[in-house]
Amino acid sequence: MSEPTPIKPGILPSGATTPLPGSPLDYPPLVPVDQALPEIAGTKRRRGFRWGVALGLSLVGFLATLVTVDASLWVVDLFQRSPMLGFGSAALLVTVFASAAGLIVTEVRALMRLRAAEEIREQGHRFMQGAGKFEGHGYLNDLMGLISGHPTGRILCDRFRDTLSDIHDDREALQLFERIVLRPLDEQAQSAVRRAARDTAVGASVSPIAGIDAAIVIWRSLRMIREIGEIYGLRPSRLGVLSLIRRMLVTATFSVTADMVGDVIGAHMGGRLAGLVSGKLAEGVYAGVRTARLGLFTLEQCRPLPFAEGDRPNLRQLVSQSFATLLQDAERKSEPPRLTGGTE
Amino acid sequence: MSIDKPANDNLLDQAGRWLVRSADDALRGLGERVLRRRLRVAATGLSHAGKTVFMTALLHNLRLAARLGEGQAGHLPFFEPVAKAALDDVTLSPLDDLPIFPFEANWRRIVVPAGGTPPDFPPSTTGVTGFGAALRYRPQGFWGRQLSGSTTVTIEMVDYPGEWLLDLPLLELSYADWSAAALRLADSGSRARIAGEWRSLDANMLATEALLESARLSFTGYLAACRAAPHHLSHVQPGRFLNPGDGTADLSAFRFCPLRLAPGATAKFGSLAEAMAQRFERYKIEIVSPFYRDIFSRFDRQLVLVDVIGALNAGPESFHDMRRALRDVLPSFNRGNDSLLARLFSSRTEKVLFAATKADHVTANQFHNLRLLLRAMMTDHTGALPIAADEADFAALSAIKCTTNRRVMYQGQQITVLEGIIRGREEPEQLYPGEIPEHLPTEEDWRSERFRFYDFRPPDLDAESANATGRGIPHVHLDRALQFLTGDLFW
Repeated sequence: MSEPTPIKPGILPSGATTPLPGSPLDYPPLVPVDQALPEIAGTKRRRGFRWGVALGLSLVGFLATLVTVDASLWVVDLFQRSPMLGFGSAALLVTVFASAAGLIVTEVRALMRLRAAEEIREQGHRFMQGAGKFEGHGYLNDLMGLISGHPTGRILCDRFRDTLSDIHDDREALQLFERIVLRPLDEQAQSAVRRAARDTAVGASVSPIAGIDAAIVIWRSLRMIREIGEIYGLRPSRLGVLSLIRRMLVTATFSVTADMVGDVIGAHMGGRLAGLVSGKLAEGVYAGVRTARLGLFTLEQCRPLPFAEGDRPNLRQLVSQSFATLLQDAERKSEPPRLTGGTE
Repeated sequence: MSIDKPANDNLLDQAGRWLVRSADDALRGLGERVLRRRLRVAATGLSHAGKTVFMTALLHNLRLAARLGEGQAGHLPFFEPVAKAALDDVTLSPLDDLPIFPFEANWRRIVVPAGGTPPDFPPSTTGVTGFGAALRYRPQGFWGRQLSGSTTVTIEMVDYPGEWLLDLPLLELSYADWSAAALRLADSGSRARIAGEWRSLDANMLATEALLESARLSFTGYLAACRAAPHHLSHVQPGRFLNPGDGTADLSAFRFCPLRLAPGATAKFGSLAEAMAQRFERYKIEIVSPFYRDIFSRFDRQLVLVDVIGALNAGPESFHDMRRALRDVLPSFNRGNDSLLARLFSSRTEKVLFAATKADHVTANQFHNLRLLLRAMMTDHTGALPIAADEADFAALSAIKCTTNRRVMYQGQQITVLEGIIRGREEPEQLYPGEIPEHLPTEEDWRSERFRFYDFRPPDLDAESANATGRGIPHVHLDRALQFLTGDLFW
């Protein structure tokens, strides 16, 4: 690489320079995250003919043709019987196709958003090391674009821009971003996890049939994952939640750390202890702990920057907090009603 | 300050004073080192390093920090009490035991300049002055929260002339040693071209008070010439000659200068050599020791501002002279060694921050190098520092940020330039200040004339908005410096 000719220090003639965009201080954020898409599409692909893909595509094509042909024949048939019936059914058919297309587009876009967010997360590691470097401004814009999807995020990003100065290097800027923008979001995400843990615990301990408590746990966990995703600006859709779950399971499987083993053992022991008191309650507590565990995994997966050492939320603390709120609620409910009311 | 006390008072008096001092120290230790509610922080710097500006900007920004709204960190985002929104109130007040630092007049000059004049830097102060800032905050740590809901830390900011620091190494020198070293220095470089009748004094002349006084005046003139333009030298020793301080009316202890002494010869009775050796010892006892004992060693934290940018501008001789001065001064800050100073008095100074000032004269991507260069100036040839690393740190600092960094395209290259109003001009201009080397500059660096940094005028700060929104004075890493110096107190 040839070195460019060094520029001589000194006062530059006025009008000789062209400003370069990209500083988060000069421009509003909201870079459309879709712009990151071409890079993702350019990743390596497996070569050769894939029978599975061929089967899937041909099957889908076959079924789609079948349905389309059948439906059109059916509509044509209806037209012959009565134009009224024909128009009605044709309109219905068009609506069905349009909403299916709409659904697919939304899901695909949400998934791509999730992928872009993943990309942003991966870059975060690099810029966190950037003491004395000033290359992360575009990255900060991406981060802010992600977070400012909801009003809270917009306020937090404005606070961040209010504090950021042109002398802060990449590491300082990310430290500020983490402190000003992410910490309040972390708190909201953790309280979402706490709420879910509490709800599943209560649901599992009061459900009369085994099937119902499983359903409660699954439904509540999915809602929690969605909530956490929304807090961090991922706006996950149905498929998005599935993808989050998949990513979480992979992480959970591969990162069986001592901490996690300890937590699970602790949870078991706690379960046993509670079991001595009441079998059903123990099931509830266990379900709550598992939901909290899942929630923390989701939280770490959705957060655009990795947690700093020592800031990682602690399962034990979270669980005890969520059960403390549960107990408080229970106590409050068992007390005679007061005039102040409306505590929730 | 007990400067005008006679040197040889009796042993009982000395013991008594020692006892009182020890008791005083012990009490302070009990009341403050355990609870640490009061902290004395010194700001000093070698010749025009900007300590007045630093004190003013710091106090002003602190005062505004307490008025910040929900979610705002203003200009001090890296100062923990502000970052955690724990600061309730900041009260500024003069210190009881020191002359008042002219804070109000100074910040007016920067923030609300009188009738149409552009904002300007405050004039530099002489002597020791101080100002206190009482910070009431809500403790955020676990134990702090248990102990109290709201508590106050008082930061006592004191500024003293950095030249006085250069006197501390004298305590370990004899007159003959100092004389030889000072003459060696005076005969080298551009110092050799600065004339002075003190150079022609004969050690064996008969000493009269008039002759001694004229020697002092001549030597003081020489030192002043060293420090002034065009030489800009920093190693002006004894530093107190240039800035005696307000409490020093009697200058008879100052009546000495270096003399050419025959090696090994004993000075004749009544000769200039003998008289000056006596004055030198008196100067050490009456001027330097009290400064060390009563002022220097009483600071809990110290900030030493160094005008590295100015030294680079002034050329290799000035730069290396500053380096010599810094390396001479540095051991005085070391508490752990067994130097004469450390054995005589224990210094309370726990942390020292050396800061390269005027960091806004270069682009932000050069701060890292500026910091490394400052460190390199103080290390020896093996790269080691003569001070414990956990007590000292280095920083790039600017108390008032006069410039803005802009990414631009220039001659087909993407560069970062500075935008600001150069002193003495009217319109904002863009300039490329070049790069700061991370090591000591080489011969080639000096020849290439790459160091030409401009001084800027402070930015226009509308006082109304500065007060209303709590923005304060923009700066470079003032908050980080404050956090390093005082952060551990805010538990």
